[in-house]
Amino acid sequence: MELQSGQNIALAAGPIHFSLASEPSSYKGQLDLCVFLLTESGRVTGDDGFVFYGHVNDAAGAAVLQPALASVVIDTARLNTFVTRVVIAVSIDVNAGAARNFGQFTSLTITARTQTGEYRFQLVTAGMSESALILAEIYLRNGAWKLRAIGHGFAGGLAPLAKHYGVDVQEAAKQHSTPPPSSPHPGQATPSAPTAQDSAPKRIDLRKRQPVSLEKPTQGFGEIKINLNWSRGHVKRGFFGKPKGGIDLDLGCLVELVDGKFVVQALGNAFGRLDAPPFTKLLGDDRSGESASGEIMLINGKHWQEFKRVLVYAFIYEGVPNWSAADGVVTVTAPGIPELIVRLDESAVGQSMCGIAMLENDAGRIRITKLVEYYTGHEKLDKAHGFGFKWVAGHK
Amino acid sequence: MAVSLQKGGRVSLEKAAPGLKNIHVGLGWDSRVTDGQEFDLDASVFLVGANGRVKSDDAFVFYNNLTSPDGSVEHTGDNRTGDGEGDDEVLNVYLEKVSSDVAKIIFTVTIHDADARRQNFGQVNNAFIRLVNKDTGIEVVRFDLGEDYSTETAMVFGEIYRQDGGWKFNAIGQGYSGGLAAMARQYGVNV
Repeated sequence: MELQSGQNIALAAGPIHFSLASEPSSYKGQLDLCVFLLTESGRVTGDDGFVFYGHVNDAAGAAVLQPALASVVIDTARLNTFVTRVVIAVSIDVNAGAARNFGQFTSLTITARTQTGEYRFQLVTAGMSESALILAEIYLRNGAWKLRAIGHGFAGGLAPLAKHYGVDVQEAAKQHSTPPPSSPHPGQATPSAPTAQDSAPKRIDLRKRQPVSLEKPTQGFGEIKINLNWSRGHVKRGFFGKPKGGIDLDLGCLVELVDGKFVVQALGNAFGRLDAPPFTKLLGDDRSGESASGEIMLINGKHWQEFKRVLVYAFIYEGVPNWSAADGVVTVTAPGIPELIVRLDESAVGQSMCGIAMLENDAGRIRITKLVEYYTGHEKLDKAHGFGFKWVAGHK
Repeated sequence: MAVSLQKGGRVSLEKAAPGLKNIHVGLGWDSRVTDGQEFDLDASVFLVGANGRVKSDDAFVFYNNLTSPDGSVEHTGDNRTGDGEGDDEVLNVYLEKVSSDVAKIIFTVTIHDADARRQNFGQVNNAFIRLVNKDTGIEVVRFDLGEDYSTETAMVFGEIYRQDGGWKFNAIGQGYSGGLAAMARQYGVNV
């Protein structure tokens, strides 16, 4: 059955399978579906109620998103009782290709399949300036779920859409307005990070999670480089000029390949290698932050198909766990994408571990999601992301 | 306290507000929150006889004919966006001036240019009609159109009708397709 914008229809009980198609289909890789689980007030139930590529299902499993397939399954039986409306929306990832708004598409078609029926809503998008659209919603009406086709949205993309439903969104512009941190090396050029940030395309910063997606390459990626730089803080020089009391930040990552899991970090001399698993290598160890290039981690992108995910972290090996004094900047670069720059400038007192970013293999694409989550140590970080390593104290 | 009606509900205006003569009829809806063309909703009134049809075309009060021939109904003007709290469009009804051959005063809202803008009442939220005693400022009756509308482009919000020598209000909330022209034809206006 064909639906038009504004039209509603009663749904049979059971899960509803939504899938999105676009015309022309060449832009499909740029489309990101998302779901808002809303209470009676029209606002999300909390962070868990915003399901998108950085959070692909809610805790109850009522909304399960498959970003690569542009599909989502809503199981109303699993929804919390205070959820009375579920919104299915789509936004354009402007970093992933040439499409900037839906006017560049001819049409979008969202199909909802239930056990008893199939409902199609084709939205003619030619001439539209919107870059985020509410496609459809299901809502409770007199105790039963109904489906409504919508097709309205926002020219400003995902940020105003998410705000509309009460998601706490920090816009990229705010980040741009903060002055770059002072260079840890007076008289030398500041590391390229702040300049790169200023010139980088404007992108959405969903406060904790800032995703960037890459077009699927034909044969792996080149080199993916992760750089950690930080300021020495107030270093007192000892009698022989040896720095004392500075902060030692260590860069590391948890690597999950299709077969096998690895830790790559200086601690325990687990530097890794590029030509064989874990295809990830830490170059040296900057004990003081004085090296202009800081610490560098390389990932061999040619073997990306063997990766499941990489969790990049930094931890304070020596010195008081004071992140705002360390002024750390992590830059993730891969060929052909804007740099992802993460500043570790939040004050997280007593927490020496910071989960920085997650790189995931999303059907061959790299999904980079900014995390910036602070923990008391490796074990807590691991636990939060379910890698399942056994942790023992070590030294270097 | 105002009477709050459900769809199909009726109330005697005499009982709800003894001595009611002059009525402020407020119609409202939420303005559009998404980007794109605004919803331009137009209130119109049909003063019809016992046969359900207007006696003459000027008994159709709308944005181009702001007063009925008997002076009993005044349209206060067109709000183009639905912005602002409260009533989006207001009509004044003076019951004592209503011509004796008028049996019903029907309050309708249609979406301007609905087909071209692909708009309908399935996209409009929180529509209501309320009657306020113009002399006291007290709300007499209110009807929130909580119905689950779909592709309708024209809506009868409610009507004031004569019964047993007095006036009653009926909360209707019935939608139609075809917009203002179809609505006007239905009540015998030559469009």
